[in-house]
Amino acid sequence: MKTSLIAASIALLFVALATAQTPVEKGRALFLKQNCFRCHGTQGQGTAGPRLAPNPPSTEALIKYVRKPAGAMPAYCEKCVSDEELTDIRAYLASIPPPPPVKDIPLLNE
Amino acid sequence: MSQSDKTPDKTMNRRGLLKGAAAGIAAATSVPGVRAQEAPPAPPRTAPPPTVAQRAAETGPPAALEITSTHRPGSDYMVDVIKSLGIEYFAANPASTLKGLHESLINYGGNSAPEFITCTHEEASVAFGNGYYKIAGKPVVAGVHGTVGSQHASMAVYNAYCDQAPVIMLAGNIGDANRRRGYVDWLHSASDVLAITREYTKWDDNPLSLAHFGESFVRAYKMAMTPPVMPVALTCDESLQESPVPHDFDGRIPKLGELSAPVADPNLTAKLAKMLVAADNPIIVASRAARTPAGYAALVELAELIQAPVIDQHFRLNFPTRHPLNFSYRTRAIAGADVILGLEVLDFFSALHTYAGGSPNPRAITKPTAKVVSIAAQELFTKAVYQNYQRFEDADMSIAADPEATLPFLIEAVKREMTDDRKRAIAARGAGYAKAWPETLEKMRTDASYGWDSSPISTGRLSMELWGQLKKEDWSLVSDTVFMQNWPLKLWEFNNHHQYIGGRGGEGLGYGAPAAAGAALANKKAGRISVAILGDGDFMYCPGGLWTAAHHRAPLLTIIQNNRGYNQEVMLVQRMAGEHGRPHDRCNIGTTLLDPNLEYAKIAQGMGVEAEGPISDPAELAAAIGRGIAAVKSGRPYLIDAITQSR
Repeated sequence: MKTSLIAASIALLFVALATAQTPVEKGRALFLKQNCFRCHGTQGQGTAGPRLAPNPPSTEALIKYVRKPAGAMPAYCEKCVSDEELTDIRAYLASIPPPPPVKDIPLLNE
Repeated sequence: MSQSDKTPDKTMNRRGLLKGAAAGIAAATSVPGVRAQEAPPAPPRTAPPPTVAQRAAETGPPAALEITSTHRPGSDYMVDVIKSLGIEYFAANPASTLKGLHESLINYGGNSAPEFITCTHEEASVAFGNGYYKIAGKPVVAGVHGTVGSQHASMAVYNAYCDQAPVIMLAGNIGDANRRRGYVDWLHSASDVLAITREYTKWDDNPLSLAHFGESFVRAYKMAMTPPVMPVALTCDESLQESPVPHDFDGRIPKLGELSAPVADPNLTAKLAKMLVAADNPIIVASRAARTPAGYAALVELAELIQAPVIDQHFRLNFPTRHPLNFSYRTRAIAGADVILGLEVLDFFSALHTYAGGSPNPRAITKPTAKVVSIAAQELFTKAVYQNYQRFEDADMSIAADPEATLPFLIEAVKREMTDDRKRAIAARGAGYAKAWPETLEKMRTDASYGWDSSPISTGRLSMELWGQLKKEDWSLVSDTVFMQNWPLKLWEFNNHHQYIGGRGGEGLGYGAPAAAGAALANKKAGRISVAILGDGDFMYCPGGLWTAAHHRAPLLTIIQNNRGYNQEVMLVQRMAGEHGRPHDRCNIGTTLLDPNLEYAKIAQGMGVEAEGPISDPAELAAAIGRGIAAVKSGRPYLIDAITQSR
């Protein structure tokens, strides 16, 4: 049985964070650890919150917004998530490929 | 429960009916001499712990009864009354205070119309009735046990009240203190057992005689089913059930005549028709407008007649989802409207205002010149304590009437106002909406494509994997879609009133599984299958609804949208952490259902429901859904545990 990302324990998330090497890997682990995926989906596709991938905002814009967001988005202070970590999160979001075109997904044409 | 030697009449009443069952029971007996030898001494009034005998009165086997009478018990008459109204189901967890009625239902009544639906919680009994009504269009009787049963039921009664769903709650009670045996009878009896639900029922009563019961039950039905439809409650006193029908009682059952719904003032209807015909951009907001398929058809007729977009808030299915005039997910259109007609909208204010950024200071999103009209039966019934009536809306016309009953008159009035010039203008407006529709649908499909192959499974993918197979069947979605981005309502083709029933009226959790069971049994009679997509958090409040579905062979496919937690609350706690400048990575504490993970397939299997999962690979969904639909079509409930994105 495959283990879902959500089902992964908090301990495993810490392990993933500790073993992550590249900015994309580190960003993905942080995206899960900081609960960003709860509103934006594990692939940044958007759920309760808006879509962030595959074309995330610039690093500058992301940092600025995360520190002082509008609407229902919770603010993240610098001691909670550093600018460097947000840069890694942005790298993860930028690495996510776009979905296939709707015309290539038969179920979305029914 | 043993019989008290203080209640010889009651013992006599039940003897004739319990003769067979009594033969094999070797417990304490109601024969005075034997009882005196076995019973412990009476406890002092101040002694807090119950005696063995007192606990046995509630938890032990029933006492053997000497069969000496063939008197007809009052509960048989109650069954006659219930049957006279065509009630199909009596949903209950068995209750000592309803044991007389219970026995009459299954033996005297033949356990048919009403059939006893075995529920594992009184909340489930009422929620079952809530779901059943929204398909069957008539109420269930929900039996609850005295104080504790009505307390358990209260959440579901509140949900039904807010959802405008009639359920007739019968609360067992031992009103006469002299008839109560020790301890538990006192714990479970009250001088006013319905006080707990009075603020969220339409009416209640405490019948003191059989004639009173008959009159009050028929009155209860009438009040429950007259718009605004709502739950009602009656006590069902133990002594009334178990005492013989008095010799001088003729057993008359009061007559239920044809019921009507309140229709709008004709002058206001004519004025509204003028406004709608003259409007450049009218828009309709519908919440619980369509009580029945007739209301659904009437709304389609009105919308097409004036080519007015409809924002269906989906507390029922009020409008077809793929109709070009369906603006349910284009709500910004309301900003350009010059006439806004609300049909049974519970929270009209919020439809016309925004609380941007969670601000408590709402801002109007409508034009200052827009005319606002509400037609709502809820205006005819408002109570004080619970604030479900929502913020006051400054409507230009508040018409206290049932929209479904009013629509045919409004349609005729609109036709009378229509001129050729207006017909041409309205047709042109409609052509514009028709042209825009394909783009709207394409955008929603594109939105659903993001994260299509993700694991956990996206709720869009889950929805469409289900639709791909469900569309070939006669189907009904018997759960709401709020926590899955409303994908089914955006992307499936709903074109029958029975295909969607909305959600929990009071937003109280625990509704999902039992309401789905009730709706599924109602759908079964129409030969259709039901599907419920239930959040894991809601399901865990009242999972016993699944067992009820299995026990009563409900053709119900349940999919657990398993995001392993109370996702909304994670987000809210995160927001607090953000405001306080504290870490977010601890916000899983108290808000997730992890460690250990809940295994919903195993839970279902333990309740006799075929099940599979957890499934986190979207590629595995189609086969699982195929197996589920095949099982359900053969009359067996099925459950799939799908690991999903948060929403």
